Amino acid sequence: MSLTHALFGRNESDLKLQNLFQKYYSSWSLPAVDKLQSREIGFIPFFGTMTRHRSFNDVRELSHFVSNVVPRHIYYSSAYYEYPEERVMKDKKWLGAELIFDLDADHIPGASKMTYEQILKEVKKHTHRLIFEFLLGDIGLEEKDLKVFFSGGRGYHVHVVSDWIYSLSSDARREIANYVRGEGFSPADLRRAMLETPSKMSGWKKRIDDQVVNFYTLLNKSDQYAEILSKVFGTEKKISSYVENLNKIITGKSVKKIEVFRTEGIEKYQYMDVNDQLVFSKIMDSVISDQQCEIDEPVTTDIHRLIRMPQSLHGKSGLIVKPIHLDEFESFDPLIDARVPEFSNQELTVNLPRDFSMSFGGITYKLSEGINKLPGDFSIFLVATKIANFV
Amino acid sequence: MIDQSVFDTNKESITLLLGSNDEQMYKVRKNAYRLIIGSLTDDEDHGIRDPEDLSCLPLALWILRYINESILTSRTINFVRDFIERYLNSGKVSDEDLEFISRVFSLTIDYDLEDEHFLIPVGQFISNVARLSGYNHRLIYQNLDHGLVRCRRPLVAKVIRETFVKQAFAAYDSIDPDATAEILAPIYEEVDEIINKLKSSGIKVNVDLGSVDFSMFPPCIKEYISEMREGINLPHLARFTLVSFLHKIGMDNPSMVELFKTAPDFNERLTTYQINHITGQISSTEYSPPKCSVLLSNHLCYKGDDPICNKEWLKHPLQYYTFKKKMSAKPAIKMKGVKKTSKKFNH
Ligand code: SF4
Repeated sequence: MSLTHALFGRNESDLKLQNLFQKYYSSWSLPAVDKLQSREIGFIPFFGTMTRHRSFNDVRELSHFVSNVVPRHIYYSSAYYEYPEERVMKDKKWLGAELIFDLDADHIPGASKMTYEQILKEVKKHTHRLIFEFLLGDIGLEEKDLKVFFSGGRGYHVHVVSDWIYSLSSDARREIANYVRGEGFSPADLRRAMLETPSKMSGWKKRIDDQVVNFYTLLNKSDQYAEILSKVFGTEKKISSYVENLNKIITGKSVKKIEVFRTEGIEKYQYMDVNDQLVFSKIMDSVISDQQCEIDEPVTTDIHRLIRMPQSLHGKSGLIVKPIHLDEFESFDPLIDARVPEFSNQELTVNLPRDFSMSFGGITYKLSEGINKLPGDFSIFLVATKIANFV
Repeated sequence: MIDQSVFDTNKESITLLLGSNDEQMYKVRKNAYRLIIGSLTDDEDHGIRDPEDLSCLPLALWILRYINESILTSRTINFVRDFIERYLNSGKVSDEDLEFISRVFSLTIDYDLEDEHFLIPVGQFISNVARLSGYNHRLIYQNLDHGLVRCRRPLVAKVIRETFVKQAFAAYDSIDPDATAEILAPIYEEVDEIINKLKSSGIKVNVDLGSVDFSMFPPCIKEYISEMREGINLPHLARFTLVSFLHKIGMDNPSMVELFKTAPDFNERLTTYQINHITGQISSTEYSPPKCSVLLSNHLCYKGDDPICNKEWLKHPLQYYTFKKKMSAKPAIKMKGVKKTSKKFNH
């Protein structure tokens, strides 16, 4: 253990990391934070515990503070307050809050078995769906209402800044959170709701109805659908008898049931028997799991949340909390675009406790255990993520 | 037709109303007492028959502000709320008029002639129906497209009635309580009469939970009880949860009826029937409270940072109660392993 560490509980790698962060913050391009003076600011320093309830009059003041203190993490509140510096929530006098979506690896099924790059890709897929399908599609927001950031860690943050959003209660926000998560469906209620649908079906009901039509059109021509049938009925014999039934004429209608089920719209829901409902329930589940967005629900429903400050550095990756223009979202690659450009020009030396490989900044590294000289941005990433130490 | 004057709680307008001997004004005053007393005594004859009768609401709100009893205020506002909903669904209001009425309440609901459905902006929809339980109020079940919820009249009526409640409470809050005594002086006898009726009505009872231990209750149940005590109307699912929960932990039905007496829309006969139904005395089916996940998706979970609620194994409010009871019986291991799990900020 080094002397500094022994005396002050500070490890040298962290000290060096803080020095590098300071370089970044000394020429920090000021974050475009609207209504900064109404937001609560919080920090986690490199050494010590979190500070909350700070407020700053303008970005210059904040910038000055940050370049002096050089925190490991910087947060701001999604809420606007009359008195953001008050310590008791009630005294802050809440004025409104952005609506925040936090998409993170923690909520992606199977993430524990994925590499960092795979995780980033998977979370990006959900973020894409959230923005383009749900927020700009169903919810009807406009591009100008959205601010999208790479979180600096393992995902993305989407902030909605439209006027009608600010005053929404936590319950109202939960409606939106549940909507994008496809949370709260029961097959019986859904069937009832289908029957009450106007001629222009939309939203989740349309997604599910499309899939029902698809299912009965392709039936046993698709592996996914065959799996649904075998899950519901178990044996081949039962499946054939189900299909046979579908081909029968509906009493009083002179049309086969399967034909009705292959037609878009609500009529089919009148004719569903017990077996059809079991199949319907499985189709519903599959649509939800294929088309939902995995968001961290408590973040969206919290109207006092602290969230990472745009353009700040994530203390556990050294990457920038990077604003992403929607036109560039498709091509955005955090491991290229969220690096600190200035850091890539210098070389730093790190010690790796074991062999390690990954792509960073467009280069694939296959590193051996021990001392390695690497571009500064990658070194910082390795140290901040605790994969390596500075020497 | 309903118009903005229903919220005209302006001091001058009330003074004018109380100073006038005009027959019309006299009727408005009378309607205000009948509305409040009818809400208090559950009397069918509230005096509100037409939307025009709602012109008594501003004065009623002044009287309620003076009396300052939240249960009475909620009951009165809820009565008018239900009247408005019935009226909007009654067939007396055309589709165009409904569009117009929505604008009276600062909503922008339109009628789509082609599809014969109404279009409600999503923000107006969720901010007004989020507190109502039932699948038909959940956003996931709606036909939502480009920010508009496409729906039929009953849902529009619900959105308008809930908006009315919010605006009525806002109008109530905007009245300066210190000014009420002076402004209402010309009708002090009638106001006193209301106060006396309130005292003798017994709607302000203190609830005795008997042998049941309140401190062991999960946050959701505590919240329902305290909301009811404050005169807030509980959604159906919350009442159902409360009754089935209290029954399961051993509270008897008469004590429950007592507890519900504080509810703003209390009706003894109906409440007794509902309680007996849920607890299996009528149908022999004894209902259990819903699971936490159901309460959560209906906005009826109040777990916050509660360490037990945030445990992964907690699936049911009753499980909370039994766990807490067990823990309190064994003080030595009390709360062992129970940590706060909720994240305060994001990584
Ligand atoms: S987690 Fe369950 S027990 Fe706790 S408040 Fe929510 S619903 Fe009630």
